[in-house]
Amino acid sequence: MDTNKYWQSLEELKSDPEFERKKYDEFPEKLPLASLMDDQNGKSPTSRRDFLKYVGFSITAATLAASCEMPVRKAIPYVFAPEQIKPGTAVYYASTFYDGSDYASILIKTRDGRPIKIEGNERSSINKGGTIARVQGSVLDLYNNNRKQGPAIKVDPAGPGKPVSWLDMDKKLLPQFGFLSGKGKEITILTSTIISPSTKKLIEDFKAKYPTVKHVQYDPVSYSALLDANKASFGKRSIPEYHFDKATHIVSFAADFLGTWLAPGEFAPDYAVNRKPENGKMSRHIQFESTLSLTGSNADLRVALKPSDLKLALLRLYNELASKSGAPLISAVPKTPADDKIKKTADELWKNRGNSIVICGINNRNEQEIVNGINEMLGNYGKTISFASACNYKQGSDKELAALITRMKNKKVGGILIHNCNPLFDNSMAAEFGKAVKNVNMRISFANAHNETDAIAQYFCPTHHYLEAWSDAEPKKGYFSLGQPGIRNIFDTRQFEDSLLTWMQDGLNPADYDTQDETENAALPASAKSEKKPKAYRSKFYEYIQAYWKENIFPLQSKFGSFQAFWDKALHDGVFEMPATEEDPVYSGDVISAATGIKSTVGMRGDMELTLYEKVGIGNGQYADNPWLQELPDPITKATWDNYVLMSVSDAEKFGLSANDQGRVFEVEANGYKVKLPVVVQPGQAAGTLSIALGYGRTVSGKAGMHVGKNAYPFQSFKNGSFQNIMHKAVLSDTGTHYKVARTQMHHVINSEGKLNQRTIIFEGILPELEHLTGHIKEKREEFKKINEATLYPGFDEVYSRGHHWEMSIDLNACIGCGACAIACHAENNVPVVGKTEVSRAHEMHWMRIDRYYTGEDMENPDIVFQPMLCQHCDNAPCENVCPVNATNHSSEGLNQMAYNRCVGTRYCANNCPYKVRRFNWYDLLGADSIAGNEKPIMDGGVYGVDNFGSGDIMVNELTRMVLNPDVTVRSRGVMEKCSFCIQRIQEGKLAAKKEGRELRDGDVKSACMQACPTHAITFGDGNDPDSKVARSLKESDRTYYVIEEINTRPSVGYKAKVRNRSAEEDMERKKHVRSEADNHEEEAHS
Amino acid sequence: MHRKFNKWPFFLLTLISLLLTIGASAQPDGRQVFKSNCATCHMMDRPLTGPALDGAFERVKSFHGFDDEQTVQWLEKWIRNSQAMIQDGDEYAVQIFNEWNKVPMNSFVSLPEEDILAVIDYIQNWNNPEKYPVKTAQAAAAPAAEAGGTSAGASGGVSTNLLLIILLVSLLVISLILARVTKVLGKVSREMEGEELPAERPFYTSKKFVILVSVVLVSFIGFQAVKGAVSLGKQQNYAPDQPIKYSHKLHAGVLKIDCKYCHYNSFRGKTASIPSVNVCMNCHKYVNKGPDAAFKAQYQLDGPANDTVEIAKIYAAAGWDPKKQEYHKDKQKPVEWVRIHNLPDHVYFNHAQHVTAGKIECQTCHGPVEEYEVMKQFAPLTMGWCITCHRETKVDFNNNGYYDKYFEKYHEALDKGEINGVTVEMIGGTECQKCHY
Repeated sequence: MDTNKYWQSLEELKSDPEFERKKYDEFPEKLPLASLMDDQNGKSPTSRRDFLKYVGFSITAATLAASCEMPVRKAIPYVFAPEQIKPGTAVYYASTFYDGSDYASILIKTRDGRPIKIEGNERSSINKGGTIARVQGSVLDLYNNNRKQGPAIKVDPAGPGKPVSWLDMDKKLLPQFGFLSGKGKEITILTSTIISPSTKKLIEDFKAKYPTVKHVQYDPVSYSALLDANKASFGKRSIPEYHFDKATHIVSFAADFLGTWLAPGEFAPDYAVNRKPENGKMSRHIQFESTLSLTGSNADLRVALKPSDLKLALLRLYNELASKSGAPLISAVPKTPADDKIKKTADELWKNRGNSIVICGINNRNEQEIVNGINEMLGNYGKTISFASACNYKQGSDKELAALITRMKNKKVGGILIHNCNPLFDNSMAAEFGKAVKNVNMRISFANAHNETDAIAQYFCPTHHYLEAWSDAEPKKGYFSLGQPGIRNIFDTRQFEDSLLTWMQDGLNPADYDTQDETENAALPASAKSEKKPKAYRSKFYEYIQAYWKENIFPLQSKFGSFQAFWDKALHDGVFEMPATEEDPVYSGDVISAATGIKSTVGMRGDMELTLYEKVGIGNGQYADNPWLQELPDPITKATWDNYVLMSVSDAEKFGLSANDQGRVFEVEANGYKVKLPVVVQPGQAAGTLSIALGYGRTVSGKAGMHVGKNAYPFQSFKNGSFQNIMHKAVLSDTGTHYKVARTQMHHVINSEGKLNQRTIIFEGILPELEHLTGHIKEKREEFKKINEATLYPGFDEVYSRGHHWEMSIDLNACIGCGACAIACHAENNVPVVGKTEVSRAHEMHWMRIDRYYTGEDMENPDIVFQPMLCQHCDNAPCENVCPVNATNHSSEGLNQMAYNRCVGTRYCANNCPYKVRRFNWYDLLGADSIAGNEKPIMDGGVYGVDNFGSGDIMVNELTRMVLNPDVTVRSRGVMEKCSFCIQRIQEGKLAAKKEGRELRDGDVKSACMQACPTHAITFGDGNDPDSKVARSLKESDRTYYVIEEINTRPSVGYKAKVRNRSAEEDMERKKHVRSEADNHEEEAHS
Repeated sequence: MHRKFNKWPFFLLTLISLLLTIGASAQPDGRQVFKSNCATCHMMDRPLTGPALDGAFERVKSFHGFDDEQTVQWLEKWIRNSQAMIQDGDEYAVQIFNEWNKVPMNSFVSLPEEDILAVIDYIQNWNNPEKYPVKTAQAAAAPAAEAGGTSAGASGGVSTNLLLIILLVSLLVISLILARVTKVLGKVSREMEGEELPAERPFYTSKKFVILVSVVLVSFIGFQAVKGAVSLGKQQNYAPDQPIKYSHKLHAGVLKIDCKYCHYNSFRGKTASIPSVNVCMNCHKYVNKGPDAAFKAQYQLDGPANDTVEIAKIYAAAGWDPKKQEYHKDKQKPVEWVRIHNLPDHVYFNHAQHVTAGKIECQTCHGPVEEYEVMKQFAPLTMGWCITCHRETKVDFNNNGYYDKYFEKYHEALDKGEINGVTVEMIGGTECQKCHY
């Protein structure tokens, strides 16, 4: 409730003077003019003569530039226009995204033949039309300059590969397979998880052709332990389906299932189903964890425990439940600081047997077996957790990777084919792998971008980007998905599967290498086709998939009689779902021996423990080279472009760090590996725990990913058959130096004049007292109405009641803070990336940011509220009346318009915006100007003395600019910009209606953020249409409020108050909880 | 009482004319159907890809000895699917097919019957001005000129302005002479009175003169500078040389090919699209040389007669070998047209919005294209020009379902007669983010 104190950072909580200053200054730094005009001695380094020179030069240059003749522009139409391409009109293709860790059924939006945006496919029951941030960002990788241009063979082991033709490559490689196989040498296909049934079949065929072929799968962030534990408990090495939509109680032990764990794209929408307090009941979500995760910040009850205690807590929960069910108890489990909460959790779970889910994110077989035991006792199998349609997302085995390395050491392996993984970086055995693989004679890499594994590969056979390739997928048993390309391959690449198909042939046919484009052939008139038979280069794998579907999937259904009809429908829809209904296997786990294993590892714990985690943006490091995702602020720390050591507030005090010491560099040592990283003091981090994100510190990558952060994979140890992400002993030593981490949390803070608790930024409450909350909102809003009776613009209500009035509703209860909307906005609206240096100067350009507020007194475990903040399109907009040139003004449809070509860049509007949502183009970040000197290389680095970013631009080049949305102006230097409510989509929707002479239907216009949101927290539409979803959402819900409504801006974006499912006592406890108590607990635990 | 008598006939007349209009509009216009379906291959008065259609009705009638109704039936069948008739062995059908080098005519299986009947009617009566009145290109272009505002008004105003200037100049000269005369006279009279006069200074050293000249100069230069600055980036009447000397006058004017046949994206997409070579090849596969001298003279067309040079360029682009009658894919090369209509990047313009939703004639913005031998930019394409049109143009408010909901106020006002139409501006058509985003 609004009596809570809300804060966004420790600096704010402590009223740090630097913070106070920044809060009042929209633009934190002074204009560079000062440095130009003054130096310390009071003497200007710029003399009067210099000044005159500059003036003279500028005027001459401007005159010359202005009097230039108009350039002659060319318009080059197709020779034979493909029928399906309408110039200037977007075409959508249903396809499939799977990158080795996340799956999504998608629609590729293509404009004039190039993919520019990814949308979620509403026909999929898995991601249900939503997407996660990484899926949204994946389109940028298609246009990455780091991509390999074609096949190459390395002659000199140290040098780069020498480009060859595919024919030459195949001539060289084809005989080797037979040769190696004949000699009985193993040929390994090393991949991350493959969920394509056709590819799997193909690998089987390949094995049949060459009997020594072995397929080894591993996952960079491993789920090996979960799989192995299921094998032990159920005799089946697979991961069950989790029905978060069916569970009333969710207990997670460090599993970030909304952000990174297993399948966030599937779990987030399911989770959101039961988070609507209007229905009178909500699911109850309890999270035990060490690092504050995205999931933990959404929990109703979050318990911060250091990793060793977390493991013990799991055992204690087992014991509590076992005592109720009568199962044998685990003996001698040490106490944990959270025993009372565990007891309560156990009571709740026991009461709701069969309706709960207990999961654990620790990659160790023992913990996973205990969790299996718990779920079995609770009777969850077959109800909320089911093997009927088991998921295929992760199939890797850490053991097999280790075994492969041993085999390579022993020179058993003759050839290795590395596809969709980066074994020289993305696992803790990378160094060992690098050494052992040199014993292999034939080393083929299929990576389509340069990466660390290039160092050992001899043959580069770059595969297509997924947007260029045909594919299929079976993410869960019986859920099939087809992937079609959105563009012809940009570079001379060949799909991995096509390479395998080629190498399975007995000989090569040079005629196959005529890469004539199929679509162009299709456009040829009939006469041309019949008279000259084109050597069709059709992906052979396309035919392979089709044959596979005909044989295996088509017979599953009876709706379509002909395969062609079935295929066309599946291709059009992108998915074909026929959930499998296999019987759940019988549980036969051995909990006691697993518990012994846990107790022995915990027994060796030190004062500080280290956990490794994945960030929502770049995942396991695969997206380290994606500037959109690098610049996406981490939902919790709000840091961009870096990894760091997370430390709890109390530990920071122990190490003598003040709030201003953010970024002090420490050396962390664990498991025999040392790394120097800056510290970020993070509220919510469990005392005694350090956390470092994986996936950073790439040494071979494109410009964006290179040397950003430090590599944390080597910290992992290989124990108990899997890679461990928890180190129970870590040593910290202070280096005394500082490093600036670019964090956005203190940028664009909504000013509250120190009285946040009295301003209506956030409303929140608890489920049992929902009526109290809604009553409070009502009371407040009526008060505001009274204050706001006067208006500056009388008579406009009538204007806004005509035509459309675009409005948005954001449900803070559904919003999980994942940032998918922010990346979707990047892609849709050509929002530029500014780079780390500029982010640290508060120059980031995100139109949509997600504010993260802490509340509560407990610094080790505050509550968190996420609030997506974008232009509120106020009907009484304070920005509009301060613009001296009327560049920003109001439309009759209630939109706060921004005319870039009229803006002169006074920045008055940004200064006057109470929501701080306006962004200024300090540089030409996307190459809009014709004057190249205005372009800002976004990774210039060097400002903090650490020139580790290389130089040059990332976004301003011909290839990367292909991702730009042609319907949205690319803003040039010196103009203001902000959210436009996706005006291009509004206009497109209206035009479609006008052309058809019908009224605009609700849902015709969706903003990019609404489309991307995996939990459907955002609703957008015409507020003047009383039946529209947005109007009903805003008007019918008692939770609706408007941010700082009391200042009478009359925003068009309404928010719905956050509600947590917890009892009043728990809530009181959370609010009262003081730090000293936490410390006491900790001491108890150690004693 | 008087009123009542006066009102009735009016009411009836309106009703009848209304009914007539409805009746008339339900009937498809034969010329329109011809233009959009047949004109790419047929002309009335001379052969093109297909035979001249003038007298076709009579030819069929006399060959088979049909009556009118039978002839219509035969023609309908032929238009729907001529190949079927040929295969069935219709004697006349086979004869035409063979005469025209066995080039099959497109079939129009799904064309509505009333359209076909309308076309047959047009074939019979195309040169009957009572049924098909002659439309002039100027008629269509007239509103454009008004909306443009820049080019119009000049022709009427020139003579008046000139007269005024002459008048002003002569008055100035007269007053100068008079002033001089009085000055000299005064001087003479003072001299006669014996006054001592100061030495006369030349007039150009006088302060007044210097000030006057500087003011005039500064105003002139300033005016010219502003004028020059305003026209920066404007390309009105821009008519660059194109890689192929394509004549809109020949294709759209004389041959009456519908604009939307080639610019087929104009009614469905953002860009009108410059046609790809395969569109040209639809006809030019068969039409391999330009019109002859007589034809050129008749329609006052520029360029050499029987020209093959320009058409050869199309063949080169399409990779078409006219001798072997086949395409060579590897020889294809797109035509690099010089783009005439350029809008700045920050302007969003959508053709479909104007052509399909707004029902604006192409000529309104592009001028009488059917008279242009060389394509040029007709409109200034400035923001002022756009806005003027948006202020004046009325929206098709009552006939588009889009406007039914949410605009009650305007519907009421229209019904009451308070306003006589809803302009684009009234529904927000001059707001920034309708074109700039």
